[in-house]
Amino acid sequence: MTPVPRYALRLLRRAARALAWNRARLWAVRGLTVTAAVSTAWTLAGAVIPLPLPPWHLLVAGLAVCLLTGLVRGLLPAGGLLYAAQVADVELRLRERLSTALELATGRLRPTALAGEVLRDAEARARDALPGMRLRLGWPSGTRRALVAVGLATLAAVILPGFTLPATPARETAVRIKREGQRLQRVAGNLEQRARAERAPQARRLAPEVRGLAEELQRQRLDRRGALARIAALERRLEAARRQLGRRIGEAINTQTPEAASQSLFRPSAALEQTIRELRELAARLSQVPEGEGREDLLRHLGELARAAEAQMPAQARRALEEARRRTEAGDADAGQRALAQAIAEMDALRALVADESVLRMAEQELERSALSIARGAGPEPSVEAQQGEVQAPPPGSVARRLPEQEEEASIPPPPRGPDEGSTPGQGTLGEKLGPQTPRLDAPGERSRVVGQEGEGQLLTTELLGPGRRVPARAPLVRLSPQAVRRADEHMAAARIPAALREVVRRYFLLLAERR
Amino acid sequence: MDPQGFRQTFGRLKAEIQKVIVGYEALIEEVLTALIAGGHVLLEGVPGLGKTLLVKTLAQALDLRYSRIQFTPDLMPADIIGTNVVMQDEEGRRFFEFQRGPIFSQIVLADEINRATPKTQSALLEAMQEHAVTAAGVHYPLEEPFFVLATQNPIEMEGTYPLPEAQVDRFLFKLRVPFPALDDLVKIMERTTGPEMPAAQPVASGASILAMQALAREVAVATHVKDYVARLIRATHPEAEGAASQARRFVRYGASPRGALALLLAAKVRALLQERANVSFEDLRAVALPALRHRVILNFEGEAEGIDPDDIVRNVLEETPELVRVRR
Repeated sequence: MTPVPRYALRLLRRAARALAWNRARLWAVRGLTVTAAVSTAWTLAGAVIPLPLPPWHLLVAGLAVCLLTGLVRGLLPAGGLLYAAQVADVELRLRERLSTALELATGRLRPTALAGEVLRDAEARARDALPGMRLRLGWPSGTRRALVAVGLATLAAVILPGFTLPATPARETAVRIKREGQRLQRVAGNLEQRARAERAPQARRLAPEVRGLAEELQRQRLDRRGALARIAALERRLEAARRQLGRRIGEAINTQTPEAASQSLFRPSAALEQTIRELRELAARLSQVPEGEGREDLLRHLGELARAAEAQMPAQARRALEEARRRTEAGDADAGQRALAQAIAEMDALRALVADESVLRMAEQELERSALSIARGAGPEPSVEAQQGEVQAPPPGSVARRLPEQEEEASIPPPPRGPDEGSTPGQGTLGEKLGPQTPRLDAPGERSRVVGQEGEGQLLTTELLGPGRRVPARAPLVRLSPQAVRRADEHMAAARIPAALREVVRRYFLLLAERR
Repeated sequence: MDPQGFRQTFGRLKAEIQKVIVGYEALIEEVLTALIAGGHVLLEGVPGLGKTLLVKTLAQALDLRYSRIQFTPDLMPADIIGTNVVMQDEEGRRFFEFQRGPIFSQIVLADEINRATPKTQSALLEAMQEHAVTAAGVHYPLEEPFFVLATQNPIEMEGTYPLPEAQVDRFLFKLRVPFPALDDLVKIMERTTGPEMPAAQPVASGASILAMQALAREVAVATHVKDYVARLIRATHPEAEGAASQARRFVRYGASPRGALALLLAAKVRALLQERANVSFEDLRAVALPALRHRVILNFEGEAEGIDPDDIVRNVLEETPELVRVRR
């Protein structure tokens, strides 16, 4: 073996590098063609089945991968000097001098009497060719075809999404999205009506957004993923607004005792209404019966009311109520009446906040229901009862369709029977821990809301059905370790919690943390 | 001999022949190429084009022994090879002595070879292949360099015996002698109708021709160039993978492996003439027509359509890629 002449070797290395880039371009072009074909096929498939990923995502990702692969391939060390020599011979019209010289130098060819002549000749030609040497390798032959394919795929990804073929799952999903749009439009109308009736400013501000989303779902050719993304975005906004309201309510109530706090989480707005009505009634009685036995009864009533509504009354309202009781007891009926009026005003403000939050929660639930319905995709329409929120058990033997998350939950084995079941291991069975069932009130339902404008017309007071019998919790409240709190937070972040209950769960854990 | 000397000798020979032969520059180069490659040449052309004169002039320029055999239907093999004759010595004893025929020369002109019977043709062709003859069980090697130039008339077919394919294959080149151009025709008239006939002088010996032949065999050939030669040959076969389109349609038998040798040897000579010590694709393309045209046997359709084997070879060159790994 003899060394390859210097200039010839330099030329060969340069040619090999050019070939490496050419090969990289070839890879990129092939990748582009495949990507365009896959993307177009994906887009066309979207006319038949709902797609989990928009075609243009696929297209952009594919293009990025192709370019990256090409770049990496181009930067990799170039090999194959012999092939480079053959190509350089053809491209630089060196008449196979380089490749023959390389084969002679590397021992691939048996040395002949003219081998030295071949090497010298190749070296001289390489020295002449090196300055300004440029292999005109050009772009791979399929480049134009690949670009046309990518263009068509892009057009398809922009134009075709939303087009669906009749009697296909994709069409059913599209119809479902439009139907949900119509339903959300009705919900938006209700939302606006309730926001006006209950003077809920946040809800009034957000109602047009719900209506806008409803119109968008009906008007635009949205695919399932797009529709779900828009619903989720609005859901997040509603949740943020509701959380803010929750914070304000929490600040207003400023509870000291955990029992009171846990009760306040569920915002018994009906009880709040009842308290306000009773306060108004008391204020009316205070102006009419300032002396004697009536006053004693009034003071007793005021005291009972302050105690009963402690958990859902703002601190200032409680103070005002106390002030009213003290002033009335001292004989200053006017001051007592003023303090009572202040307490009523505070309670009214709280009621407005609670109503606002309630309306937002309702909107959030409706959005979630729409999201679930769209996510369910093709399949039978839920019944009217199910649409109204009543969950029906599936008939025995039937296999209900489940979401993937539900499938995961279903796959988790139930807790073991016996002393270890439930939240307090080693302390009996679940039935024992829960204790006897609370008695159910067997009474007909009554309208809890009076239709009409508040403050106008005759005041209607009805007896409201209270909650079931209060029983002490069987599960003892214990201090939680930081690790448990952290795990709870992690589960909160990872687990799928219905939007309507997220705030409740979070506050529950916050209260636990406060107790620590 | 070095490449420089090779080119000089070749140039001198060519110039000397051109003193007598007007025009035909490419033809002269091809004849000399075949001579140096160590092969034989079949010249095809109508009578009166100077084929015989070309061979005679070559023999004069080379200072080699020259003989001419006029092939006729009654020519016998012994007329070419020679025969044992009964001789008598001074004491009256009789014995057989081999009388050498005209084949025992270094440059042999087999004029109108297709007029002799196949038996006689094969006697010559055997000598061409073996560079030796066998008579009465005795082997007689022929003196090197041994070079046969056969001529045949492509038009006149009456009373001829066309050479069988296997025998045509033994010629390195089949050269077509074209009709001279107008200017060349005028010059021919001027040279041959004057008081003095031009004559060539010896400028190279048999030894220098042998040295040139040896040097040509030292020319290097890259692996992918050899691969190209093999693919060219396979492309002439209709049933082979990579066969050219016209070969598939019009060819009965493609070129033999001897065609590949002819192509490569001739290309080596051309490479040296092009001041290179390696064979290039261009060399192969340049010698492909004379080296392959007589090895491509047309089928009935090709004959009926009047297809020229040259077109088949050109089609093969067009459709066979030089570098099969080049992908753009």
